[in-house]
Amino acid sequence: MGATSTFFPIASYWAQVQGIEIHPSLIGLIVFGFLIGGITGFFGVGGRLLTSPLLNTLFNVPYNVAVGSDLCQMMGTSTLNVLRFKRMSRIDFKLGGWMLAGTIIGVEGGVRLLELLKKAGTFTLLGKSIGFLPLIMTLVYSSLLLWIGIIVYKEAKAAVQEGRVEGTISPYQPAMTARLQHIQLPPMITLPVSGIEAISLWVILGVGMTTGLLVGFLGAGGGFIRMPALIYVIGCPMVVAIGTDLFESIFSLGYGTLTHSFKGNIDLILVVVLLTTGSLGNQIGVILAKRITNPKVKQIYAFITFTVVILLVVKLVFY
Amino acid sequence: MGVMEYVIKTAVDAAPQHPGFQAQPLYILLNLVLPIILGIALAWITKLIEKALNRLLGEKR
Repeated sequence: MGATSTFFPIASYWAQVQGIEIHPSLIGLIVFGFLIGGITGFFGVGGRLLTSPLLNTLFNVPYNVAVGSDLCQMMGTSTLNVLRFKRMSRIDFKLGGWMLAGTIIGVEGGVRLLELLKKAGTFTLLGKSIGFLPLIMTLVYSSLLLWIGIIVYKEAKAAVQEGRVEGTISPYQPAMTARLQHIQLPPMITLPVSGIEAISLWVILGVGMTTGLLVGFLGAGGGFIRMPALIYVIGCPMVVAIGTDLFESIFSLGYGTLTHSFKGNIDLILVVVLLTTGSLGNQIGVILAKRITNPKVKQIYAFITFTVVILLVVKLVFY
Repeated sequence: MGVMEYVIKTAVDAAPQHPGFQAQPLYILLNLVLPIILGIALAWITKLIEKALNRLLGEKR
């Protein structure tokens, strides 16, 4: 075994199976983890969504290993967040429990979809062999990143025009959330901790399943969907949303890690490197974010997502 | 370095190239436990970093 396969045995194996050659240098991954952590800490939203596609684009780590390892390291990040923010939050266990039921179905569905694509092989288009896994993942990541990038750009632009100090970022449009909030499909449940008199159980399960699918299939923490969904769609107070999001994260990421482990998709060394460097970078990002409050800076995140989309497409078409 | 070698060896044990591959219990356990342990340690380390940086740059908010 070469140096790379000794350090990253699972990633090397799956790369070999999929006919690609991985090239992650330890130094490169340390810098990468630090930067991704810094972006997440600084912009506070969606940074983790960049990890898996960039691991594949920059280091050729197969998508199944990138997603599995990213999920596993996020479990560590969630543990860290629980310990750091436990005093600032309150958990609605009833809401969290119902949501978790939807999340687990979503996670399992996402992981199975990934497995299906992992084994789907390749097809030839214009004389070029293209794998189903990289093709679908590139399309999904590109669409999602474009969507988030456009929303963040618009939010930041509006914040600059209105002279707001900080731009709040939410992937939800008010009209859409209002429609979801008023679904009266039974069974309706009451959530006393969140102060909600009646909400359709299907809305809660739907939010859980959507975030679960993102966790299992894309390795995204799902917080960029779950937090705004808890606040705007379900109507939780901020303090309950933070606590319930953390509670959900731990269990959904734990389940995602477990099911990815059974399929051999987690490279522990990659996990250790990303978790350690990402957490340190995150802390520095958070401290910088407290000092740089110009909403124009938020537009940088939009440009980062657009750059990643271009990188993904270029890699798929030319490499 | 001993711990690192042990972790690498465990990951190799779980490498799915072996015929009839089944994820090893230790590999699964490590995947679940290691991030949590690291997360606990990092929570403490990042708190120290935060304190040090805040002292260095001046408290904000």
